Amino acid sequence: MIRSLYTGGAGMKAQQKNVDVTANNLANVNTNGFKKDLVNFEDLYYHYMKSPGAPSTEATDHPTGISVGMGVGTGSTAKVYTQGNMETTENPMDMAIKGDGFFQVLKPDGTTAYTRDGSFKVDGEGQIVTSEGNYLEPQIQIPEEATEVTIRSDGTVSADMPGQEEPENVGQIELARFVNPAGLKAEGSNLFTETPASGDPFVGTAGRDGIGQIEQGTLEKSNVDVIEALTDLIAQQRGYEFNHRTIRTSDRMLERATTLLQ
Amino acid sequence: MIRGLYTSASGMVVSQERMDVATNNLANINTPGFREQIYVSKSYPENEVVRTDDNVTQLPRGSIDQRPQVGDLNTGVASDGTYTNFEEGKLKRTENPLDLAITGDGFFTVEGDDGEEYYTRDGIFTMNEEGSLVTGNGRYVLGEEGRITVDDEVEGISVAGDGTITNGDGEVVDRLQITSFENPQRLQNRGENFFVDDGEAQPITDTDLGADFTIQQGFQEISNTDPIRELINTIEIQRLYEMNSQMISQQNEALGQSFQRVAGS
Repeated sequence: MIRSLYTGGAGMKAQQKNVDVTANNLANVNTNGFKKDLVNFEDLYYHYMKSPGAPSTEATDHPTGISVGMGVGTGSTAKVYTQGNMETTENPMDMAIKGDGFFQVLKPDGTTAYTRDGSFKVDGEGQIVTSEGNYLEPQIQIPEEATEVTIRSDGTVSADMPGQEEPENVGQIELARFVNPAGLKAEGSNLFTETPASGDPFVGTAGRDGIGQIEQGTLEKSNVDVIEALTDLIAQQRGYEFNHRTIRTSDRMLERATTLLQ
Repeated sequence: MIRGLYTSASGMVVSQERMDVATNNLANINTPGFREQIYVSKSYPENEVVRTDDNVTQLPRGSIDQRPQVGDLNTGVASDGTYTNFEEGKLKRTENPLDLAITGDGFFTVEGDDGEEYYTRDGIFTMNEEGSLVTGNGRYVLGEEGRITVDDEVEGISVAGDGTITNGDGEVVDRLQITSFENPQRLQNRGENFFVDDGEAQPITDTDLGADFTIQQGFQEISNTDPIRELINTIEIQRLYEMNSQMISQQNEALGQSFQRVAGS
């Protein structure tokens, strides 16, 4: 009886976790390059009061045994790296990756982080930076007098210079790929960092070796599907209510048992 | 009378156990590939009731009982077993290429501890840092040639209905090992969405000979708990519990009155 109270409690906690994650997905529905999280549940340990195959009489066995599960727990939350919707912005510094891969960003502490958010800017010194001011890696300097910047699908950055017929090549954007992007750690600010689970980054040219292509003037929005998230939310709310109900029922039964003693 | 007290108490104990099972089923309402459990109770064996005040004694012990029989009496209820309902859960579309669901019979085969195999219907897989297909909690999914290493971007992977996995370049990598069982009721719940074979479940490891199944890529199989039925169950359990406890109260009162009559006056 007390067991079912805790089992119901575990169920409520799991659904709560589920709602937390869905709420975060919905909150980031307009975040550039955001990848939605999914919660995976798993059942907990089972208590075997009688094992299957235990003898029931001298000649026969129990075909199934008696087991009671201890509820549910969160197995993992995993990011889903499907392509987000593309939005055309015509802003020359906006870039989206079509396919696999991440932009590399140099953080102020000297380490490299990875992002799918391609809303880059040019800072006062002509460097390509993220909205937060972190440098794109490898660093690319746009000359002061450049009139127009072109980024090709392979990541080559070139600038039209006044008085020159041919555009000048000013740098090459390299993208990083991971075998297991779901193993990356989300740092906030749309940045990810590598972990032992993600594996080492494979850095290469866009459009080659399985890395996606870069599209200039486009932003990748989040891959959150609002309808899906809202239906998930309904299922989670009902799951919460069912578990609340089992706790209430267990409580009533316990109450009944205690009145026996009066 | 005293016997009746224990009979009612056994009803309360069984209701508690039923409640524990129902609660676990409802707690796992959103657990992928979960299989609900069904609690079955049985009545205690019948006792022969005999008259004891006729001065006929059963002596020596083991001789034929000559006391006059009154009839048979069941003295309560006990648990008979929990069965797993292997009915299929419904599918939920996710479009995630590594979410696999089985329609039909069979289980995904997963590498467990000490060379054991675990079986699961939870097909929400990911890729680990070696490029191998693993479950949500990091255990290797087994194909016909062992661990499945795709080592390519997730986007291009396609899984055919018969479990054949091809990578982004169209090369066949391996085929999922789908294990079915002659006697699935002997599978034990291990937790973490895994079942283990206790040695009697008789696995059919040849994917072709065993299950009649189709793999659905981009789908999750949700829990097969029927929430409505389970909620009605909990109402019934609660009422049964109350009735049994009411019976105890009444018998207690009746016993008290007997004492009053016999000893009080």
